[in-house]
Amino acid sequence: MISALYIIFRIIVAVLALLVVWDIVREKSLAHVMCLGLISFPLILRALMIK
Amino acid sequence: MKNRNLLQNIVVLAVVAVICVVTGRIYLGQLQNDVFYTGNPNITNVLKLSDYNPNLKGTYNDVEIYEFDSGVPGGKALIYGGTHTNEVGSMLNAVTYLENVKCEEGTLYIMVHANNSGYSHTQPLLGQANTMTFDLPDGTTRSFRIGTRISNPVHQWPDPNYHLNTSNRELKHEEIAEIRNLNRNHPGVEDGYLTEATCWAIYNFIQTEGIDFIYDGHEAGAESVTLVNTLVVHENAMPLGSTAVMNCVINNLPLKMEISGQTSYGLSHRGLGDNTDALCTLFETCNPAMGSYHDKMTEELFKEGVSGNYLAMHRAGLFPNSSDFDESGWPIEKRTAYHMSMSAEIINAFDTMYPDKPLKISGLPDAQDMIANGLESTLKSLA
Repeated sequence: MISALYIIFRIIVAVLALLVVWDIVREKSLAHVMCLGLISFPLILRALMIK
Repeated sequence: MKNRNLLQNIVVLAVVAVICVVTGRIYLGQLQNDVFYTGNPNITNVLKLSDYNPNLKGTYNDVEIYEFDSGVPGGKALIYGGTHTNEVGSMLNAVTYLENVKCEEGTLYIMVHANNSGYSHTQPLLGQANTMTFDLPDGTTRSFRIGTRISNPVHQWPDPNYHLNTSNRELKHEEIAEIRNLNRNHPGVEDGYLTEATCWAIYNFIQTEGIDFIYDGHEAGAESVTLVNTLVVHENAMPLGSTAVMNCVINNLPLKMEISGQTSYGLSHRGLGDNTDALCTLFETCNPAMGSYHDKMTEELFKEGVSGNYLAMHRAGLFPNSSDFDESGWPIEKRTAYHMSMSAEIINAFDTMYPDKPLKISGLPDAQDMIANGLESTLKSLA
């Protein structure tokens, strides 16, 4: 059960990270891009389980 | 629709990638286990915690227990540190034993990192240091990680919103994360969460090897005036503890004793004291780098223990009955020496009180020399 939750958690975080990276590519406003950059690297590290 | 700002977006992505690599390397470096000096010729065997709980095999908490068997039947003791991995004095006491001790009678067991998972991370938002180094006289360095009180959530997840552990402690509300605190889950569960399984391995080790007493080393923040320099004992260990503390006081060490609270569920002195025949003791020294009011976090704060904040607060009388804090602070060598002296005195007291179970040790550095010359003079080189 916990293994399944763990996998689901990582999938959700990885999808979020990819969405944020995709938004960084598409976004036009520099301020928004920088905000997205700020939230992206903890998402990426958490998806990789680097803590 | 084309994005004319694609280049700047890619630059931001590149910066994100660099930050990920740089910070990721720091986090991954924290996962590398410390290297200990194991060249002490008096080590007779190296056990693993998984020998006492197979569920720990292959996990981060499957650590070594070093056996010093004198070959003379007698008492058996377990001295360990690293339950709370930011409490470095207790860990360095175990390192001092590991590198120097010789067991003349009886058997001594040393465990340096009781909760190894705790060393692999620091507590978010507390600004804790993550490593400390000692420059040895031969030009080499010894480096030790500093972690936090609880296991890494990368190793143990999720934290249940409610948990009744085997000691009858309810982990709920503000104690939800304590399911990852080794000193709240004794005696543990064989197939429980990682931290519980580690507790159970320690419990099973004590039962299997017939350990007569345990010494669990800790440190407390400078505001914990009732705990600092205090030996906490299970009521069964009261005669042993009081004899040892009295001997320390006679030798000008200002130490105190306290009885384990009946509701200190899950702590080693209560959880293991109630469930094993071992006499359970726990000793706390003062670590000014812990606590809510610590100064700017630097390696020097951990090593030299000089805290302007706590000195001012003590002088302002904010901590009643406090007499243990002055300008000299609490340097790491003094804290380690206190742990070494307290644990050695408990061994002496046990040897005296239980002549049918002799337990004698030798080889430890002189405490006064350690305080005067620093741990740089007592730590062994890995070269």
